[in-house]
Amino acid sequence: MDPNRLLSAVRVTKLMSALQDKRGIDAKLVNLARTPVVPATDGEIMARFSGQVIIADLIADGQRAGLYSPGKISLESTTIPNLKLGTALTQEQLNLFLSSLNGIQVMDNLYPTTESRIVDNLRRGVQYRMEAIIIAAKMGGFSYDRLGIKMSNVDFGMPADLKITVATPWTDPVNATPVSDVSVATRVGEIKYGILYDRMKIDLSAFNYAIATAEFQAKARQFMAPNVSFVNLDLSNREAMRNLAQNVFGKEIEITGQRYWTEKEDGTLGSAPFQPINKVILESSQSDGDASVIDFANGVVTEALISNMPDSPIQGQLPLNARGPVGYVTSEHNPPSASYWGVGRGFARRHVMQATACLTIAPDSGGGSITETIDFNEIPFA
Amino acid sequence: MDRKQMEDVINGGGSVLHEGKLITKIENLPSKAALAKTDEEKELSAKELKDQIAALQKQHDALTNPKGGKSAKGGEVEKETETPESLMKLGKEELVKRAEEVAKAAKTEFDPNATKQVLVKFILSGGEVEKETE
Repeated sequence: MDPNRLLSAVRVTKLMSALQDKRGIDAKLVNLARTPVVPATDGEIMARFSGQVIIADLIADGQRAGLYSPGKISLESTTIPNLKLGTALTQEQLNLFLSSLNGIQVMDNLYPTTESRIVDNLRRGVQYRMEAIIIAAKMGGFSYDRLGIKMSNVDFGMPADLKITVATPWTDPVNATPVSDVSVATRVGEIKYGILYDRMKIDLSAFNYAIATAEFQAKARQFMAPNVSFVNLDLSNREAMRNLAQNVFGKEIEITGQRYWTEKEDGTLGSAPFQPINKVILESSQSDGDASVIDFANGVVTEALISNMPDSPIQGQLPLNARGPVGYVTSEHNPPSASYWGVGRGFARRHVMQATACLTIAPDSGGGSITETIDFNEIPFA
Repeated sequence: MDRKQMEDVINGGGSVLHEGKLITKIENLPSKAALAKTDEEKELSAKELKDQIAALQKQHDALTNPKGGKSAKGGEVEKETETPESLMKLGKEELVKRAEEVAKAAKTEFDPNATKQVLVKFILSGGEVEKETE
């Protein structure tokens, strides 16, 4: 077994691609599955036309027609950040690797099972970040502060009247009006921007607050049997309540709640939801898979160039036009270590500014906020 | 949600949905008084409004009520044109005071118990008409 071939970047990347079956995108990465990943380059110029269609005038014979402004073409440049994480092999694992090379049978062979798991986790880690960025594009805002990278309130150009904060939070069961709030946002999208939001993505906690309001229960009455009231219903029956809510809100309802894990700088694990629990996203199912609405710009990874340089720390060579996610291995001698890396390079792009609306249905913290009831500080399997 | 929080949302590039109305500009937000719900908030809003009214009233008064009866220049009194009718409207005491001034200036004497009509004639003549007593 040639360790150079075993650890080569081409082999590791091929392994990563093989683990990425078309049908195998993690089930919780719903937004990534619906968003085209489009090849892009640094400094790629994206021209966006913005303007309204002006209705034609009635002009008599022999008369001049009116000449109007054609709208505006704006040029925007995309600078693509890296999405990257690594896993270091322990010295024990490296010793097992050495034993295998020497033909010694070992119980816990690093290859193929453990390595597949490492590489698959790296691939999914990159995809989790892609999912988070796509959701941020749908919410119209993105902030990041970690490992020296600080991005604050990245604005995707979403109109202000589609980034809505409700004055009465949905945590107030007496005064909140979730059905009316969603209806107002839907109407703005349909009448002003010409897009019909037929899907609502909401966290389970927020959903439970919405169906507990007096307004929702009053409006749901028409969809229930005469002798049935909310007193008789089991509000925790998610499927039944979702079906009822779809009738009341008049759109498909997708319950979110997927989370990702991150390792903090002090080494402890933390968890966060992909979609914040106090945000509700309205979108059109017609935009699914349409790169002209929202896409993920996928660039060539810089590591591809590095791997082709002499004395590169990257084992093996990647094709110079390699786009993420790709995998490779680096090694150090003092102390002896080897690390597997997963890397991608890209960012979400929102081409149609009115593609989604986002409602903030409760404050981020303080009075009226939604309290997470699950303790994520209790880390299982740590 | 209080007005300050609403302003923060709008300043942050978003909009506020309040009672079915979507608000994107700060000037279109309801007033603090309109948003007051608890008794404490209402009391505070009422006090703020009262203070605003007092300040506006003060400005209004300064514009519409200039300080009358006193001259800005020291010593010089702007005289109004005096007629018998205007002097007859004054009280007896005021007429006696005016007559005293006139008598002093003209170095004459007059009867402070004379009728108003006599005092008016005395003042208008500059101290020359003799007093008449009833």
